[in-house]
Amino acid sequence: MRGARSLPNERIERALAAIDRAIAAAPERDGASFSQAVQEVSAVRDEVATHGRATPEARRRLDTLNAVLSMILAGHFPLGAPPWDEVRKARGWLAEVQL
Amino acid sequence: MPSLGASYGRGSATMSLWDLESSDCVVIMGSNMAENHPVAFRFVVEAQRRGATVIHVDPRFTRTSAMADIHAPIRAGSDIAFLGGIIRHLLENDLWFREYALAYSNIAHIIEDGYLGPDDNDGVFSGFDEATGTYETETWQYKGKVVPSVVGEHRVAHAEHGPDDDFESMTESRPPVDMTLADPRCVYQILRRHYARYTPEMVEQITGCPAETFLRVADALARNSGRERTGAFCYAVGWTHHSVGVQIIRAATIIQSLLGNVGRPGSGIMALRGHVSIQGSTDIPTLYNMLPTYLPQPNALNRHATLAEYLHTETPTTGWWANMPKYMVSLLKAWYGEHATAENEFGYQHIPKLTGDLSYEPITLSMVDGMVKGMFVLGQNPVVGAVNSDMVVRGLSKLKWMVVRDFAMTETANFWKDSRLIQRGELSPDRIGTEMFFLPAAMPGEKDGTVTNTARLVQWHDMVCEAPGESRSDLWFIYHLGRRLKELYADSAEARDSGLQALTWSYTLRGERQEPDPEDVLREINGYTIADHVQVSGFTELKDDGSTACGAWCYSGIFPEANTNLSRSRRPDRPGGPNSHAGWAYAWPSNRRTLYNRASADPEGRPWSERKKKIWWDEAAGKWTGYDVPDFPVDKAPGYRPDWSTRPHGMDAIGGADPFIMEADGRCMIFVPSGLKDGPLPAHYEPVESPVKNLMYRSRSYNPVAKLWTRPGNEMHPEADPRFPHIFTTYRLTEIHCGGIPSRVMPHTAELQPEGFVEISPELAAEHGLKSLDWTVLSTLRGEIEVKAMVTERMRAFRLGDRTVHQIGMPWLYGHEGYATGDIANVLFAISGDPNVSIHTTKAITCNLRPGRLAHAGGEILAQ
Repeated sequence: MRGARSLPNERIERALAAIDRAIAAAPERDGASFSQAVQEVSAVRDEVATHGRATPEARRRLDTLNAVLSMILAGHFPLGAPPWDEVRKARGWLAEVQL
Repeated sequence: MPSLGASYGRGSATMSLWDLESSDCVVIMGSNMAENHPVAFRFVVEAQRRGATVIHVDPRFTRTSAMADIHAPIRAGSDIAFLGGIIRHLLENDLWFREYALAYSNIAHIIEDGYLGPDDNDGVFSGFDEATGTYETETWQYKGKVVPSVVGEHRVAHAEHGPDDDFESMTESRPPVDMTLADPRCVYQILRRHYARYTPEMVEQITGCPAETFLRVADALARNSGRERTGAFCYAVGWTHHSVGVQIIRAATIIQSLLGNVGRPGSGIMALRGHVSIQGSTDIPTLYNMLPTYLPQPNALNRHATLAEYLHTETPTTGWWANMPKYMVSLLKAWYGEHATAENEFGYQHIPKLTGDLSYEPITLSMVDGMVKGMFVLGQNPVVGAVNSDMVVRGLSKLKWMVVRDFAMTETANFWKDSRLIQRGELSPDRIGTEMFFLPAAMPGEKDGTVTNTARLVQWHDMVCEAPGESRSDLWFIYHLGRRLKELYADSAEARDSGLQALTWSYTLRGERQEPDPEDVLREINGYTIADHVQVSGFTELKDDGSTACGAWCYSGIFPEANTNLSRSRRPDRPGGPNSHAGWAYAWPSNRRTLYNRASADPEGRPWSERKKKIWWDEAAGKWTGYDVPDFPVDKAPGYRPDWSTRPHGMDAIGGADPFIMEADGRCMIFVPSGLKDGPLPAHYEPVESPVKNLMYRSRSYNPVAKLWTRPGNEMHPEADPRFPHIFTTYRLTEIHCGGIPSRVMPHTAELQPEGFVEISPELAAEHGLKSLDWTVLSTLRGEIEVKAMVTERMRAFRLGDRTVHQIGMPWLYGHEGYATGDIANVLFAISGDPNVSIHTTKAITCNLRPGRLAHAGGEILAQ
């Protein structure tokens, strides 16, 4: 099953770094950093989807990546104050996908 | 919508359109009503014929202005300065309807000690958090209370008050008041301080409207209000499409509350909706943050993990909204039927939970970033109608698929081969991977169903003829799409698919086309009992135990019996009748034509005057009676007072003289403690792009909590940027309907307004040596367009202090499809949002104008 193969670490590292920049830019509420994070995580999701969603593992990865994107969206377009703790948690979820 | 909701209790027009003819003064502002709502405008004309004063406050002199007794020109985006000036004028000259406002509003309520207004707090209200760009609302509360927001989607903000916050403080006592109005912390005194600097002279400096004209407007309003006379405000998107749009409407609600112009004949605020059934689409919403008829969408980041938590967090303890659990559980029963049980929280976990802002603007940016993969476009044309058209096209080009349903080709459906970015060479069809589906849609006469108009009036219309070929109604499409999805996922074991599996999706199908019966849908919207499937007569019969189902509680009563569809009713009043036309269609809630009509009687239940009577208390019968369905418990006597020793909940906490039953204490809110994200009172901030500095609060140019999403391609202009010295605004034309396509593709309507144009004043034309039909280039940091000039005295230059500011305007309805074409005005706008509803700004930005043509291919193609 192609969906079960390991993800390229480099791509995930880029996504993690982009989230880190968005978190670091919290005082400036820098939308560009969040935008970059969305692009990078979306690219990871595309990579997973491209290699198939037939296996339970691939579907779990996609679920996790969608959850990460939901939380980044919450930081990027918050309903009230940005939920930084949740964004940090989402970063952790993404890091676990790497494992 | 949150403005009317927060102020009065419901996010909708407070009156019926025909009630405008009973007004003694009609102020039209943020609307060109004569041209864009001509059917409704006839009631204004009738009012004028009967002696009413008609006022038009608008940057342009339009056909509405021509019909008005007074035209007050103001600079686009300065509305709050103008309205704030009226508030000050009423207060300082003691022109307000004291008995009404004291009895029915929160003008005497005492606010928390920590409250500060922007005059005393560096241009912002107390509670502002610079780091997050948001407000905490603790200091805006009634002293010692936590007031639940009447605006469902904003109640969630109160999670910030802590896990034990349950609004029980509202059951302990009335909010503290000072009926002498002497307490410096009472709303009256706060209001006076807040608007002290909104003098006629300041109004003139900020708005450009001569002080003398402003005072004529203020005095006409005051003169036509009180026991014997009433006035109304009419507005449209000229008020809403601003970074302070909600607060502009709020300012009008304050004026009307002070003048006693709510709930009475010829009084109120008429929210003129911008499209057919826009009111209906907010009631049974296409909005991301609400469930049908104003129930808040659950949010993953709030205490909404279970149905019990959600209801505990979101249900106010006092007022009508205490019934919310009945409406929520009945909705879940309508959606999930036998799969909704008490054991599984009535299917609550099937409902998706929000995390962030999913309104159109963030979704567009998320498309550009690759997060969004597919899009259905039904009933809209975003390449023309949404701001930053180039950004929209970039987003569409990143999708994997897009479905457009319309009855003619649109700029949105053709973006991949004909859009501006294609013409300019920035995109090419061979590099766009979006798979396009264009599906033919039935036209209005080719389907039956309802339209909910601007006055909450739900009117049924029958199909005239079948749609040709493969054209189908939206109902047909949605039903069969849902049916196929249910079939596809019938065997799925994934938890996320369980909602689709549980969804009730059974409607009578008619004819060979298998068209769902829309009356079946309306029956479900009305609600029924689960045990015997009998229609309920109204929302007062709904239960929170799973014994009733209801698709939209506000509409309950519209189909009270199996074969009684009240939206079909067409019985007008006879001449000289009560003018409620209660037999004409159905107005939610409960077929009321005038909301808050308990306020048409004095606290003792007597009409304020014979001339302005609507409903009154019949002591002998022990009930409310009159010319409308009472917006009040029909047998609650005026003298009823809550027994606070019993900790009353729900309607028991609302007195017999408290007309605004959706509010937690039954009073309309001049000062809003909860429910708005940008302040308890309207304050003048400049638009996010303005050619001038803010004279009112010099340290804050624009709304400090406005949503700005600056990025390449979506840059904003700095304050008073000399590169973009002019104010730019957009509007509709009588001759071009909706997003342009319905009129532009028809030769006989296209020829009425055959080409795009920009209106400029003679003064500005002289500066540039322009005459009508000369080409001009309009530019912002988002893009450039070319358009022919129409030099007209309808536009004027504004004198602001020692400076002249020019305003230019352009219809936004043109595109490249059809017979009537022109560059898309929305290319010029940035994607931004107001803090409450994320509505974009289209009525006041800055731009540049120069004579000539664009050099790139797009201009050449248009020239040919």
